[in-house]
Amino acid sequence: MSKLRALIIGAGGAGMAVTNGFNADGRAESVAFIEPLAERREELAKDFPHAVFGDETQVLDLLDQIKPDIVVEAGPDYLHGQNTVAALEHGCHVLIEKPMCTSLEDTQAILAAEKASGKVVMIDYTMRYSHPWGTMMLAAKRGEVGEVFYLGGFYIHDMWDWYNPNGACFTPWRVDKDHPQNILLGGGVHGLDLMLLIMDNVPVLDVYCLANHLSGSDFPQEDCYLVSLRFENGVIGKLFISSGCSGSPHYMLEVFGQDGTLHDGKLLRRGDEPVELDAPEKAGLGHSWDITAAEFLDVIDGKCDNWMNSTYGARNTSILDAAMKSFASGRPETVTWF
Amino acid sequence: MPHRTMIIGAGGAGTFVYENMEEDGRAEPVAFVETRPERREELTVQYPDAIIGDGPDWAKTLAEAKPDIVVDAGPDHLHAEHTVASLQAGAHVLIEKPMCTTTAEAQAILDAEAKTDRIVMVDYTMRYSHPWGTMMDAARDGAVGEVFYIGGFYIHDMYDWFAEDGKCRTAWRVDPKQPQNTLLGGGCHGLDLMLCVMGDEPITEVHCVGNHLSGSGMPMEDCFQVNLTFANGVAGQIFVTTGCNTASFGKMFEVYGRNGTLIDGKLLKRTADPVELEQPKDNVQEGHGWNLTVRDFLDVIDGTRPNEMNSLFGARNIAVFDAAMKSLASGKVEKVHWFK
Repeated sequence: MSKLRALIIGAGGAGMAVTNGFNADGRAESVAFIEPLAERREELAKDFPHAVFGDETQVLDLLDQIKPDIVVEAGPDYLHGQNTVAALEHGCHVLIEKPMCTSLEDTQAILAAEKASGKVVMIDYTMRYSHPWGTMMLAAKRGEVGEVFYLGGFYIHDMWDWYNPNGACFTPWRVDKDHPQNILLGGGVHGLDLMLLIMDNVPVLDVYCLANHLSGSDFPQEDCYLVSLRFENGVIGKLFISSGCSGSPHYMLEVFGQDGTLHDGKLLRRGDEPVELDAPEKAGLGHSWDITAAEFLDVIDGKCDNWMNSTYGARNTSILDAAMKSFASGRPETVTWF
Repeated sequence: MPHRTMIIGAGGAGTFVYENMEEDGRAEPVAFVETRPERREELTVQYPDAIIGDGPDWAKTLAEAKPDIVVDAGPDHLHAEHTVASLQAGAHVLIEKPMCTTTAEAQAILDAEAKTDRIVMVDYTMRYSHPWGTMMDAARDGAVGEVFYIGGFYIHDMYDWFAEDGKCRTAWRVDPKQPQNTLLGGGCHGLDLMLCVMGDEPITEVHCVGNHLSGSGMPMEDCFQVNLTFANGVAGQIFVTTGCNTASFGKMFEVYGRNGTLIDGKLLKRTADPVELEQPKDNVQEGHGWNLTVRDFLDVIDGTRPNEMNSLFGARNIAVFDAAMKSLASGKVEKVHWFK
């Protein structure tokens, strides 16, 4: 059986980790790469001598030329919408590195293109596989804390190394003055995704967002956000994001319920000693891209449900889109619920 | 002669204060206002010469006792009425936090205080605590540089205070007509630390969401998320939950600055390992630290120490939460009346 042929858009950390995941799995292989940096393309050509390469302006050319089965969209966040729609229109399954896209309009375009194509769209919410955050999410879904009354999602990540030209992980597109990465979407998605999984289909009604750019980071727009959310059933939520912080107190999820509290990898209950949650067998280290790559192929093969589907992506982006509108307007904004 | 002191509310806070006053020696209890008959009986045995009145009799007890000091550790919603009357009666007043429960009451206390030469101190005991007070001091000393975000928290499972079978059951807290608002009663701690760090920087507006879904015995909201905007653009938050089901008291305070982060008693910096803040040898008390409040209150009366827990801090704290409660009701962002 021939392997599925993949076009990788963005050969950075995520794109290459997925490539490696495909190689390890054996059901897919990367046959083409879109990469804006010429020196990076030269490096890749040595490792993938039979692959085809293009820069960021050549997505459509490579889709036409290569006719891939799969597109992995791991390029700049603001291009996810247009590239995903193009890939679907070319008959490809698409694995999108989070966030799915960056606006309500892009969200609607992806959903429409997906429906028309019949292809799979999966969003790479890798924190679902992480320990302790994914483990806490699963514990909450199992009812370990009973009825939830509050949830918090966090992305507290000192990204100096990603923003500064001298940083160990410098990523120019993140600090592109014309299209900087919006870290509310780029980072806040993780905690929000875990929250949405726990809350299942309970809609978020409205959001209120504060933000600033006072951290002194090299980032060209807001890098600190505080978002409060109101769910339809009265549950309240919060997102706190800081990527300009100095030092990272790693922290991504907390859940408070009638019967207990999930905090920092522990289950707390009145009258009991805190219980450290056990790491599950299927937990990834860090971003767990290898697990996503394998599950994406399983979904294409019809072996499992797509639990990181476009509805989750659409809801996530819609909430954060409303948050950005709230930041601009200075008042709570209603969320379009997909 | 020790200052003659009237204690309103001989529960946890009131009792700690008068016991510490006796230990200090500069003040002594001469009158009590207490709603619980069994507690009044205990006090009668312990202080046979004291005047002891029921809650509704507080004005009569005040007039009869003519105290130098009133310690108001009764229900939060009565603090303003008690404090204004005490000031008018010529007493210094130590108020267990919160100072009162509305902006209008805060204004009334400030007005009454301005007409006297008496002192009002609000018992923000967490300033003396470790690590929270220590973190506040570190932030004020510039340990994290310019602050861009600051958070206050009150994550406290108060089952034992709310429930019929709770170990610390306090009936007034769950009075269906006048329940304690734990946004004010608990959230004031973290907010006070935040206001201390931010100096005179005004909070311009707030937005609050809240609910009452925890299943606690509290007859009103027991979970609040308040987002605050400072005039200089700094973002702040207060998160309060008293209906949580937890095994331990959660964090109370965090500060993020350009040069570092203060969280959980540690100073984090980009290029260094986290540093655990040292507990100061003096001026720090585990838990509520009422002994240090009493020492400082008596020092302020004696003129040997400035009043750092003054009514302006109390008024600003209340005004922020008053706006937050208005926001919870309206669903909108609300302006904060900033006391100067």
